[in-house]
Amino acid sequence: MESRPPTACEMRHLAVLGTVVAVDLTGASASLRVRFLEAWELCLTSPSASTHTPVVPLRIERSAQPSADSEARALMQLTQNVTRAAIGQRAGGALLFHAGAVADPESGAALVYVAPGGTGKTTLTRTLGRGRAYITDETVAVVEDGVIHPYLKPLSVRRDPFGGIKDEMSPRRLGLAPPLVEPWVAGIVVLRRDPEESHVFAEEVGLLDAIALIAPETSSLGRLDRPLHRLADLIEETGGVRLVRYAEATALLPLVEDVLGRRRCRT
Amino acid sequence: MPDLRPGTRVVASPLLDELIGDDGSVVLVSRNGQDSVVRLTTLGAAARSACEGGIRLDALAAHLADVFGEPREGGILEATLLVVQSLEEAGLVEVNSVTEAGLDS
Repeated sequence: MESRPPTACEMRHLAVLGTVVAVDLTGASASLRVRFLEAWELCLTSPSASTHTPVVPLRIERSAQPSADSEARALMQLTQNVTRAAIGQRAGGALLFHAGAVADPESGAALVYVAPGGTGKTTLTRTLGRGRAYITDETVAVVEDGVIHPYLKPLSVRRDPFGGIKDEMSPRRLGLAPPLVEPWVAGIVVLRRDPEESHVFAEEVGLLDAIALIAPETSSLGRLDRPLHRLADLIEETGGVRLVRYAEATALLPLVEDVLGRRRCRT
Repeated sequence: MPDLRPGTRVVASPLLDELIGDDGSVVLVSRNGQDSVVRLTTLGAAARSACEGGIRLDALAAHLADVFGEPREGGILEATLLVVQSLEEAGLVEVNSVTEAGLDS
């Protein structure tokens, strides 16, 4: 990743996690550009006034032959690099969770589901996000008053069979819509998927245990001022954390309805 | 394996943050450039806290015996050593082996 002043025509700018990341399209083929613009359409924004906008390249590996698969790999790599750059920008400014989130389109009440990578956050988001507001399937940035800065990235959808490639899919194409109002944390759950579970099991977790459970799924916690206290405040303001074991995403719909039905209490 | 001798000094490592509750604490510590969050029981939190500024193992054992009583099995020094080992593994204390010159310090 480079950090240099973006120039006009070869750059596109993405609003992600409350910051801006520039993508350098120099050398990208027309078809790759089209795929990029479609996949990232919900994040496209104007150049930032900041002189510290990180720049990530969209490029097919030199050794790879141009093909649909090499474009998919380039887009997959781009998503990882954009995420890394955005997290780097927000470190020390926001609580950053490895989590997915969906919100009520009108109230902004959001459920944040914390889970390790590779455990089905994207699948869950595709299921839970329909008819609601899509916030992210990857990283949730929370600032003061529980406000969420969305990351409306393309969803990284595993192919079946997987073969190491995920397709970066436009949220709109998957039937997901962006939030219409500012999203805020209405509830936090930690998810554990167990295909053997026949029911959804939700267990209240005490504050200290909740922090210990969530902390491994955060980024740059140590860069914040009094991070554990900040995390504790967020947990207490949202009514505590539940550890939820489930098998199928659809089984979580009642939980989503419950949390998204909450209304904000501002003091 | 930490030094078992009573004169061994145990020093708490600096924390990035600590949150104390009714059932222990949770702490954030940086170790080898990696931040980690550790959940401590009431006993672990009290032991780590007593090591702020450094304490001899025998003094720590006496302190823990005062607060929590004697262990049901085994000696207080051995029980304290187990606590110290756990704290050391989590990067929360450093154990400084006793020197001959420092035996009486």
